[in-house]
Parts: sequence; structure tokens; C-alpha cells
Amino acid sequence: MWKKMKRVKEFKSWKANETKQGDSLQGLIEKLKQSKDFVTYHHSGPTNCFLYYIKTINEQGFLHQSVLPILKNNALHTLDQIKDKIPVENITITSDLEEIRRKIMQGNIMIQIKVTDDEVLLIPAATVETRKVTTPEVEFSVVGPKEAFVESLDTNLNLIRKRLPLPELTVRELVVGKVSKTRVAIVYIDGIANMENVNTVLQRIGDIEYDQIIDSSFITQMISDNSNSPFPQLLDTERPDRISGVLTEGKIAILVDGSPSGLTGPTTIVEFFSASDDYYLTWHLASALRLLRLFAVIFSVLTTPLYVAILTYHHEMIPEDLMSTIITSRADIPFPPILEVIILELTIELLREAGARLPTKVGQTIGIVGGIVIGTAAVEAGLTSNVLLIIVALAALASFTTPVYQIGNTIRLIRFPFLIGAQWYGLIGISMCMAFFIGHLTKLQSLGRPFFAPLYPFRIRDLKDAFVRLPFNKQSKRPMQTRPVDSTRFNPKRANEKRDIDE
Amino acid sequence: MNSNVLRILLLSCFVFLLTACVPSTSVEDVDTILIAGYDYIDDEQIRGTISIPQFGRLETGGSMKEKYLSSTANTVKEVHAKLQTKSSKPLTVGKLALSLYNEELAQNGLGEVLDNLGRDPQVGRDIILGVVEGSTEGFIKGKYSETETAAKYLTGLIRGNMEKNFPTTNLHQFLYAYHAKGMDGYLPLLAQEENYVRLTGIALFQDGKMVHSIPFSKSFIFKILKEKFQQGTQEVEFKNRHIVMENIGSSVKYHVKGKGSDSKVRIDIEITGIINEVSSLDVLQSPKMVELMEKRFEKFFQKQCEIMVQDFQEYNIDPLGLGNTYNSQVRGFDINKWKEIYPSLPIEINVGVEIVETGIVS
Repeated sequence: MWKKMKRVKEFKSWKANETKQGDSLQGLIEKLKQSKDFVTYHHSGPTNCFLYYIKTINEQGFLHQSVLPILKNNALHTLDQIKDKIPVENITITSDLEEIRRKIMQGNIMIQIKVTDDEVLLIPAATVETRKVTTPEVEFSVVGPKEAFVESLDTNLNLIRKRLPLPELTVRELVVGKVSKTRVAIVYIDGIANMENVNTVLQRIGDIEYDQIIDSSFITQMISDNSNSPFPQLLDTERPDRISGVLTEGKIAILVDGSPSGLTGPTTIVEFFSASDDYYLTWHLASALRLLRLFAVIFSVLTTPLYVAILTYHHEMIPEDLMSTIITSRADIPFPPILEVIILELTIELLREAGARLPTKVGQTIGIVGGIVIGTAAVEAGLTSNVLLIIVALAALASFTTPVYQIGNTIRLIRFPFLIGAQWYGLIGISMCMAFFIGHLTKLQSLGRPFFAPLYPFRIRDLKDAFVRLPFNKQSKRPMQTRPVDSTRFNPKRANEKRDIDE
Repeated sequence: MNSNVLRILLLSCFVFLLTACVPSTSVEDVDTILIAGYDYIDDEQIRGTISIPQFGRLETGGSMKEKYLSSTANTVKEVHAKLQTKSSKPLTVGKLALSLYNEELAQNGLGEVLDNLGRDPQVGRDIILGVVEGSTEGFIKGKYSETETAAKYLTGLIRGNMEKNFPTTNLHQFLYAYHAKGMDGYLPLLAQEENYVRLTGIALFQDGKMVHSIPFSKSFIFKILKEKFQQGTQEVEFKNRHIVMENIGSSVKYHVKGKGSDSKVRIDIEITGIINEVSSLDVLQSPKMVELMEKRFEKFFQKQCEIMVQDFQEYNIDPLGLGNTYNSQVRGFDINKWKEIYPSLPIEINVGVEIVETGIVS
């Protein structure tokens, strides 16, 4: 109780301090002066004025070329005169303290005629350090565009806008985070995207109460419909082509300043297994690859639990020819199958985690050392069986096939409940786990739209681009999932017209 | 704490607490019975013999080793309990492939043994049952192959023949026939000869007791009467020569008519075949000849089938399941009445043979 009171008191005094120092321009300047990179400069000459700016976020060249020469060459006595002379747009004259504080923190140059003046001139001159646009590293694709988002929101918006040059592409911006004041852009195509979805996103992001938003994954977790689910309910991607692709389907993209990945929603579980490659290959190949990926995921989740269940409870399921192989390789193992599996799964998870944390060059070595040396040694030392080593390695390999990184982590995790189920009740345990997860998935929503669609609710129209991808001329309708305002992509009649005498 | 979390915690608590009762053993820590054989000792006792594969520690296993255990007791369950006392690891029947009975036991009734098999969920429904001439103990212990277990050898033998002339048989079918109204089961009859096993014929049962058998040479006839099949071969004498026909598709249909004592059964058999072997080449393969051959085959099959069916009627057994068909098609089936009329039931057999090919010699 006492502690709580103390905390409230501290907070109050901090708040009071803020208003005391911040309630005047003078106070603000005094506060900023404590930082070394805040520059106060008295410009004397034809124009007598004071310049204030934070040099680390200011473009120095701009100051030297466009501001100082004008002040030096002209005798200007009012802020309006300066405003007229300086060749930049968006110059504001204001005495609103809140605006001054915000703009100066964003890299504006503040000009004051007299120290005691309340009115100041603000010239935008911010410079933001960013990385160059590079090739995607997480969602690499062999064919197709090779641009990936960077940490700057404006660059990212540029990458989207250049792909969708139409006035309906709307960018709404919100500022989230009490301390970080992060710019969050909500992008959608007006006239395609359902306003209900847009409003859901705007409202949810607007309601976020948190001090800092460092990455878009913060937003995913904060606005997801069920934050206790291991399944990500917004798809994150670093590919601008993917984002512009889903925008035209009527989905909504969320971009966060400082984050190299965008979020899209409403999404479905099958979208996590579709790669952008799927659209760059012919539809048969794309469909085959998608089915392969789906198989890989099911394989990855279920093989080790099946191994445990069959070896512990259902011996009759082992084919007779495999019997001797399994028994001879298990004969020397001192552990029951479940422990054997957990040991090996943990080893693989350790390798993955170590590989992800270490610098690239060391990471590769660790992969080789871990995979070959530990694997072989474990078998030779009689800790695990050969058969299991193959199964675990294949399962790990299969879990890497997911095109979206986030769902890969989920698959990594949900294997363990299945393992426990397999040890408890054998195949019944696995089925129970499966029933639980499917039940959970059917209940899950993404921005209020069903996450397990097009399977539940069953939507034939959306199945055309789910487990298989039908050719483009069959996809004349946008997915029902997003409830688009305009659901027609193109006129199927014209697209399917036979052009026999094309020359 | 909110009630949902509490509920989940409680549930997982139960899951933890209530699971101790599921016994589990890893696959290498059990002895898997591959073959089980039962011999008749006297009216009270039966002797059970099992074969358990022994897997080597090295992956390059070498020859297959097997362990054999035998025990004598009053009931099948007791036999199993006694066998367990002779084994270091728990015995499981999950991989049971063959269950064998000697002729004497079969003649005294397999009811008890079958009940035991039928109730066990671990036992697959597609395991093979068989009747052995002589003792099953010696039969199981006979070393037949260097590279495979006796179980594999025997199931291979029976399954291989099931693809050809021998009728399909497994636990499921036998149990169905055993429990069905108006149907009797049959099992393969096996005999051990020196270091191999021979399929000698078909053992025919009545209410779980073996009452009759037919030799292997007649199994083709039995099979065309019993089921749809392909790939069997049958030899027929034709103009003092032997010709062999390969069946590439045959179908059989039972038609039942009438009620009570004026019931009638018609069996229609259609066979499509190719001529596989003619003992001398001078039999010209002209279309006319083929027609004659077809006629000859039809006559032969008709005759053989009639003899076989009459044989069944004499013994009052119904391995074809005519009563079962009757039950499913005619209202008011009475099994006792059927048993009365079955021996004198008029059964008409029509066989149609079509020879589509005579080989590439011509």
C-alpha cells in the first residue's frame, strides 16, 4: 500500500516537473540545453535572430545552403519576412508550445527573433539515417522482385506506392507509444477494402496503451484478436510485392516506422503457407509446392509424436519389415522413446537457437558441428536411435519450409504438446491434441474475420487460392475473407475470350 | 485468477493424475508373438506354442533367430498366462500374423480359441488362421528359411496363393462366417514336409468344427464358386490333350427364389480366360476351336461345381454362404428351417466361359 502511494507520488511530482519546465518556451529551451547535441546559435548581422536545432537529426547541409545565406544577405525583422524568403515548404509560425516541442524533436530548425518572444518559426530540416533497400533475407525468393522493406516508414511507403500508383491507395497515420511516439501507417485501397476492417484496425491501434513501439511485432501482439494464441493472427512480411498484392485483394497493411516488416490482415491460416513464389510460377507447380509445404508442416508436427505413440503403445502398427530395423536400433538405448525424442528435439532446438543468435559465419560452423558431430556421436554413444535421428532431422527440415517465419516458430512449439499427448495416451493423445488445436483454430479470428477460413467457414471461392492456386484467369473474384467492397478483379468473360486470330 | 485459467489448470491436473493407469512399454522391451499354434491334448487340455523373433543388436542382422515357447493348460487364456511365466519380457499379440490349430483341435471345435482372438483389439483382423495336419508345435519349430522368419515364410506362402487359386481367408472372414446365419467358414489346410510347407487343401467347418476338407486341386473350383477373382489357372482335358486356362476375371452371383420348402438357388458364373498352355501345338487355334474349347471348359466347370455343391449339401455345410444370401434377400428367414431344407435344396449352376486370347504363337 505504502509502495503504491509512493509510486503515485513520484509520478505526480514527475508530471508537475514536466509542466513547470515545459509551460514556457524558455523552460523548453533550458531543458533541451542539457543535451550536448542541442545547438543554440545567436545570429547577428543584417538579420538578428536566434536559431535552435538538434544537430544530430538536422540536415546540416540544408541549414548552410538554404537558411544561413538568406539570413546573412537580407535584413529581415519579422518571422513572416523570413518565412517568405526561405525556399522550403511547410514552414510554420506558431506559439503553440506542444507543436514546437514535437517539431523540434522531429528535426525542425526553430528561429526566434528575440529571446523573450513566444512566437517562433519552424523550418523542417530533418534527416533520418536509414539502410538502403536490400534483397529480402527472411522471405527470399528465386524469381520475382527482390526488394525488401527497410526501417524507414517513408521508404517503405514509397516501395508500396510505386507498385500501386492510384489515388485510392490511402495511407492513414497514427502515432502510438507514449514515449516512442512511433508513426504507424495503415494502408488500404479505398473502394476495395472493407471500411469495417479499416475501422477495426484504426480503433485497435488507436487504443494501444503502451510506452514504446519498437517493431511491428509489438502491434501484432497488441491488436490480435486472441493474444494468448500461439498462432500469429496478422501476417508479417518484408516483401513490398506481397503487401501490394494483398492490398488489391482488399486487405489492410500496417507499417510501423522503424520496422522492416509490414503486417497484413485479415489473414487466414493457409496464407501462412503461401509464398510469393507461388504467384511467379505456373499454377500447377505452385499448387504442387503449396501442397508439399502443407504436407511438410503436418509431417513436421506429427512424425515425432507418432514415433513415440507407436513405439510405446501401438507396436502392431509397425510394418513387419521395419520391425527389426527399429528394434535393433533401439536395443541399446537406455531411455524410453519419449525421453529419446525430447533429448533429440531439444538438441535440434538448441542448434537452431544457437544458429540464430550467432554471427552468420560462426552460425554456419555451429550448424555443421551440431548436425554432423552431435548427431553421429549421439547415435554412436547409444543415446538415440538412427531411425529417430532421421525422423527428427526431417521434421526440423520440414518446419523450415514455411514461407512466413512467424508460423515456423509456432510449428516448432506446438510439436511438444503433441509429444506429451502421444506419451500419455498414444494415438488417442495425439488425436486429442489435434482436436484441441483444430478447435482453437476454428475459434480464432483475424481482425474479426475467421482465421480458419476457407475451411471453416467453408468457402469454395477462397479455395481457389488456398491449398492450390488456380490459374489467374480463374481468379476473377477477390477473396471473400476480406469482404471487399468491390469483389471483382476483372471481367472473366473478356479474360477467357478466345483470340484465335491474334497476330 | 480468472475462472478460465483455473479451469484449464484443474483440467491439466486431472490429466496428470488420471493417467497412471495406461501401461506402456517400448517396442524393444516386449516379446512380440508372430505365430501361435494350438494342439489338442485331450478333451480338457490344449498345448500352445508360440514363436518370438529375436532381433540381433547389430544392424547387419545375419540370420533370423526365433525363440519358441510351449505350455499346456486347460484354456487358451491359461496357456497364455503360462507362456508368460517362461518369458523375460511381456508378451504381446499385436504383431500376430498366424494362428494355427492342429486337425484334431479343429475337429473338436475352435470356438474358444476364436473367441479369444475375436475379443482382443490388439489382434489384427487380417491375420491368417490355418489348420495343420499333425502337430503345430513341430510345424512352428520347423526351420524353413535362412533369411526370413517362419511367420513371414508362412504368411507369404498363403497370401501368395490367395492371389492365385486359393480363396481369400483371414480372421475377419472366418469370424463373419462363424457368427453369420447360414454360412460356414473354411480355413487353409497346411502340412509340413521335410523343410517346406505345402498348402494341401481347404478345411471346411460347421459351427466352428472342422467336418470336411477338399484337396488343393479343387481350390480353383471352390474359388470361382465363392468369389470374384483373377489370375488362377485350371487344367482341362481337351481332345486327349491338356490345355491350361488362366482366369483373367471371373464373377459369381447367387440368385435365390421361393420360400420355405420350394426355395431354389441359381449360381451364375462368368469366366473370362486366356489359354496359357496347350500340351501340343497342333491344336489349331482357329475361332472354331476356341469355341469348342469354351464349350469344353463350360461343361467341365459345370460338372465340377455341381459335384462340389452336392458334396457340401451332403455334409450339410454352407461355405458359400447361400443361406446368408437367402437371409439378406428373402423376408422371413428361419435358420432352423433352412438347415432342414439345405441338403435337398435344388441348386442350379450356370457357367459361361469366354476365351479372349490364345497367346502370341498364332
